[in-house]
Amino acid sequence: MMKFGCSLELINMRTSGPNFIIKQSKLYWVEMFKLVAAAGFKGIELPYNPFSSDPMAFEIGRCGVPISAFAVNAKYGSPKEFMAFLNEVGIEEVTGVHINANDVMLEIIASGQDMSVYFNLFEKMGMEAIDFLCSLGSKVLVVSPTPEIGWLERMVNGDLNGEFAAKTTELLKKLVAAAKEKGISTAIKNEYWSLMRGKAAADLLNQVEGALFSPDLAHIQITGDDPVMVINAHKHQLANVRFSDTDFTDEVGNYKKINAEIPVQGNQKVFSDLGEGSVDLLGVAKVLKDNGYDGWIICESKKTLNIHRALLKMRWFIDHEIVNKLGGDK
Amino acid sequence: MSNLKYSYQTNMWGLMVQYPKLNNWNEWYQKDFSNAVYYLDWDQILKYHVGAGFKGIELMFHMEPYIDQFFGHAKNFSDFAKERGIEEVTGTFAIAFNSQDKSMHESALKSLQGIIDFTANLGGKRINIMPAGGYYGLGPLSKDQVTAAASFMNEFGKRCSEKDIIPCVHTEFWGSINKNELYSYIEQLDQRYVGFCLDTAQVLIMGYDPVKFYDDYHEFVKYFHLKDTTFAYAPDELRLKAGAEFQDGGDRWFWELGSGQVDFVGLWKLLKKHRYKGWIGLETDGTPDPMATMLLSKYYINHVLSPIYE
Repeated sequence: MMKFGCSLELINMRTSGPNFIIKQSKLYWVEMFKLVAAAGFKGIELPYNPFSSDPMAFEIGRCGVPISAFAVNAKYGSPKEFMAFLNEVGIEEVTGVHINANDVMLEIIASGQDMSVYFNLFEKMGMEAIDFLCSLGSKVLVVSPTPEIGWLERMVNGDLNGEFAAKTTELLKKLVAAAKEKGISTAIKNEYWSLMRGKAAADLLNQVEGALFSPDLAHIQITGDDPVMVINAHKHQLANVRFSDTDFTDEVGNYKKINAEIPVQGNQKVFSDLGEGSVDLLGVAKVLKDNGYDGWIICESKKTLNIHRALLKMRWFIDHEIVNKLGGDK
Repeated sequence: MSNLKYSYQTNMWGLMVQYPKLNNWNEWYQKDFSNAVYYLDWDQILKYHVGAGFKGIELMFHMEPYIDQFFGHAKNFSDFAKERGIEEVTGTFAIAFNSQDKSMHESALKSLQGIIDFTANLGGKRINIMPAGGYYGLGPLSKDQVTAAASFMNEFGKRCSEKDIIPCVHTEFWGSINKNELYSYIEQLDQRYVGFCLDTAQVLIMGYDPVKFYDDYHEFVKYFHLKDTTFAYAPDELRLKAGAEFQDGGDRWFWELGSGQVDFVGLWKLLKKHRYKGWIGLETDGTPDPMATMLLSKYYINHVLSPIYE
């Protein structure tokens, strides 16, 4: 039976807008967890970023966002108290935490270090996230395996597809093994701006034994692949399938640029609220159902302009356009 | 001609403004049909400042990477702003992390070189700077640590002077240079190289009357962050806890001018007395509605303060 959770990356902290400041109070997040539960999502996936040299990470890490072990301890007392609070408001499980190699890159740039520390920092972030998962009783480490191609081309000397890719593979193997020892699965997430995009993501999954695939459907489509075909191809190694949506076409090769998700030229709105884009979400859901997928489906309306409305729209869409059309079996 | 020119810190719009300029407004407005689209790009936000009569802007340190990435170079951003009527990027904001630790000074100065270069490239003349990290996890600072922090700022000031920039110490009610350290810290600063940015609300929340402070230190005060507060003389337990700047209950620390306990009329009389001239900055971080707060503050300036001195 499929379970529908919600990614807290729904809430975009790196933007501007009226009353953005309230998102930096604990109150906002306390209320948000209640609203997530009220919208019927019993599981949440958290982004995880332990760094603070990058000024944006510093700003986000010092308020009520449960973005790291430090933040949870500072604002919620402890992981145990945080989970007790989540359970109390109706969220049963943290389905996983998501670490992103791009955050490692931003930390390096902000702290004035060079790329010689990249893999050590990445490993440190991964190990810390595994401990954090254990402390929450959570089971899946979701990993975005490389920074943006735009950053890599600026910061890395040499062949990206050679030594850098090989070291990435080795690091992921290490994380998979360390996580496995603690009963945690590691799932690799795809992005259209990643070095591991398209076929490279599939190759990476073949090379990292034991790794699962956390497919992000909007990213698959922007890359130029068919989400239904990709999910079908990986149907036996899925975890935390990310239901995201898009109408975006990358007409200017934005995938190779820094800040690929904030295009300056051409079309600029990359993500749609779930159900409002052109991703064949029902088609993917059918593949999942037909293959007995019983893990979490993580819903996301990334960069939505109205978070509360997006939450309710996601619930309506899942109930009416997915579950009902699949015959009512969640 | 007016003695005062008004600038406004842009941190009230968001942690970052995502886009330089939206290419197709409808891409965002269709399906959303809300006002969110009005706040997504610099093109519009800069026009709001100019329309309200604020011809200067300030930028936060966390905006630096994104300005560089989206505009290619800080000067390009200044040119972009000037095309829309902004006369000057009057300053930036930074934090002197690790200033209390002598052994870290070299690396800390190295990290702050970026904000000096960024400010210079913007054409800015001041860096408003928090003198050390936050109190939580760091404070209380020892006497030696306060001395180290002051020594750090003096050296930073010398480096800034090479680019015709003055660092203006900006104390925060939640900072490790706090109520008990402030005067001792100031006494150790070299005022040839270091000035003070009087943030009226921050100083009042910390526990000092900003009007008296200005009277006592008017030569040292080189810039202002005008904002109001309803939390004058806040107790330690509110100021010094983890993440104190963002209240767990969502309450606002900062309000538009004239809405709280800061005696702006008294301050304006002193500006007149001491013949302050030049840029004067406003900062109203924490407002739920930046546009309304900016206009209310300007109304208060025009109708209450300017008749005293302008």
